[in-house]
Amino acid sequence: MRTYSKAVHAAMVAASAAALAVVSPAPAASAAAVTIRVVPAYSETQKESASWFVCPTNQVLTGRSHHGDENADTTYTCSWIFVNDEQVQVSIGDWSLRYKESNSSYSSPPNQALVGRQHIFDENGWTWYRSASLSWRGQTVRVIDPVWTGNLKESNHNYQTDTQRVLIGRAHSGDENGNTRYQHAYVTIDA
Amino acid sequence: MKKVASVALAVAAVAALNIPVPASAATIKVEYVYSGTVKESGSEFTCPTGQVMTGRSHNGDENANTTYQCSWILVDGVRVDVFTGEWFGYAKESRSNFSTPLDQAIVGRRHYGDENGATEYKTGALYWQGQQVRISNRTWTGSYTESGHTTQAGFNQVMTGRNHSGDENGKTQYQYGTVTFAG
Repeated sequence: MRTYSKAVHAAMVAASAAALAVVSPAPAASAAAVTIRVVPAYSETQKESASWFVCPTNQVLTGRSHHGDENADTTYTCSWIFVNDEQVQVSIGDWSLRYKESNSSYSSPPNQALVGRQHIFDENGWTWYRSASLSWRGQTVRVIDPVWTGNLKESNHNYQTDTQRVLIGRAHSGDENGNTRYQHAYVTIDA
Repeated sequence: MKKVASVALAVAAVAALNIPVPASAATIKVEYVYSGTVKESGSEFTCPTGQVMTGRSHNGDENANTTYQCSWILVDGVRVDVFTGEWFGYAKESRSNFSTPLDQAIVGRRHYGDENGATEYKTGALYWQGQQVRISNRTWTGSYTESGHTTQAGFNQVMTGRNHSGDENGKTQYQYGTVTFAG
């Protein structure tokens, strides 16, 4: 669990109810310290060569595992993002352009997280991704500090993000013996 | 997609549900406003924007019609926004057991084929003026015979789950939860 102390002056102002009412235009909840949690909530397994997966409402992708070739199963993990124990609203966009799986690299647009992936056939088949923007009480939830993992062997890997991070991209080269990398990032909100 | 569009705009019989509450608490109303009928097999149904499922009836086998009831939710007289994602929860109808994720209501159901076909659901999260509306006290109904039944949410409840076993003569149960809002 990561706790943000919002701007120090806001906390000090909060000590004085009168001053808070006058000075702070933001709702009390967002002026106080904000706690953000990414909590795994759902997983689903599909055959890799015919997979069509989108996380349930208000969840984002935080993990993927695959063992074997394109005929084997792929398991996706989705998570909630909570700000002060209230779900972050996940607004899904359209499917991406298609990429040839054997030479693909996708990153979500700025401040968006991955929520879906579809793939057909083998490494010569196509892969599409789907991203979503995030908001909490009408405020944009930002996705920052993107990092790529090292190489994982596609035919035998299980990658799950840390508790504060969500998936925002994936790259793959070659067939099932080729390497897969994931891009992940922190979620945060502005003070 | 073949969608039989017998759609009745039912004026809410619930309009009289104005219960007295302390001034400080939010007044919540779940108001039945729409019903739609589709053939059970090979069809999908999603409540209109801003509405959630509060009832379902079916009489016959997979070739017969299914009618869904949808309601909107009001907090202090202002509509709650229903935020929906994609279809999920793929399961064979003959042994499907679905519950919505935390604080979400069912807003759609689709089903293909007979009892061996697949069933999926669409769910919605609820927000009132940007703040999340919760669903608590989930309870399952008793068993209905799928081939001839009607179920409806109780006071301030919305549908949050459904399970079914067997064919149209098998049993169906529904899960309902109560809408709550802390403010």
